[in-house]
Amino acid sequence: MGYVPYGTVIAFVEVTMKHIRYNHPLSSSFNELFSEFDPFSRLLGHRFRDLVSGDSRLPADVFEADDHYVARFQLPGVPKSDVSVNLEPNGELLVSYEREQDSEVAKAGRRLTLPEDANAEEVKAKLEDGILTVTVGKAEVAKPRAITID
Amino acid sequence: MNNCCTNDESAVACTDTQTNVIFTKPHYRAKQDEAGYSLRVYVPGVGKSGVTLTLAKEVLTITAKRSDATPEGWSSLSRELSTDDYQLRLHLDTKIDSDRITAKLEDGVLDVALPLKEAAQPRVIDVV
Repeated sequence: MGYVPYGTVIAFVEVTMKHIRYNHPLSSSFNELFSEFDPFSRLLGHRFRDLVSGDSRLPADVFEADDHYVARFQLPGVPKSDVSVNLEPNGELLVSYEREQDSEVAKAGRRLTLPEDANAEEVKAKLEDGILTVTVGKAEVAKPRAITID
Repeated sequence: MNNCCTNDESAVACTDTQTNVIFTKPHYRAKQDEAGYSLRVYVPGVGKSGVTLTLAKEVLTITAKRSDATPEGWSSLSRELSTDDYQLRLHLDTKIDSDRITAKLEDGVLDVALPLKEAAQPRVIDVV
């Protein structure tokens, strides 16, 4: 894997919010970049890594409730101002943070594909006790509807 | 503080032999300066009331219980994060003044100050 200058956003590992989980084709080369066999990449990779977990891919829990979806991330000690939650035009949710601490740069992110019935207008994010909770509403049409029999 | 000066400990699960409760060992960092040691323990999901620090026979046990239980009615689609409570056990140097240990929890980060006893601090000796 070649040289990637600092500041370049590398592809995040993708996971669909549906039951099927898959790795983005780019994710394998992404791991190679930080492999221990390449000291140069390791040196660079370190700057991208999360200071706490040492990983640049932000782990997530994804839940489904009756009328919304929830994604949770662990971001201990990361202030709100360093976190960005973006809803991309293609319907992907991009959560990332960048934080400088003790002259080290920590950076991690995650891209989640929203399910088809997600309501992009209804996205909320909350950061509490180091846990980021992103709530995405479900579109009205997708809610179960009881049909009265005439 | 046998364990304390490694810079970045990886998290591993440990079991409390007395209660058989499974804990995750949290990531932590330790620093040393003239006044003593400072610990930074990463405990995301833990509220203020969830932390207990106990000191027995020179072993400092930090237990942090999570307050972010999954609400009822949420079904998991994909789980990658541990939901275990955290526990970190450190063997303290006798030079640490156990009466003056202080801890502060903010945004899922627990900062613990372990000051040295006055006698253990470096002394400046005046040249007469």
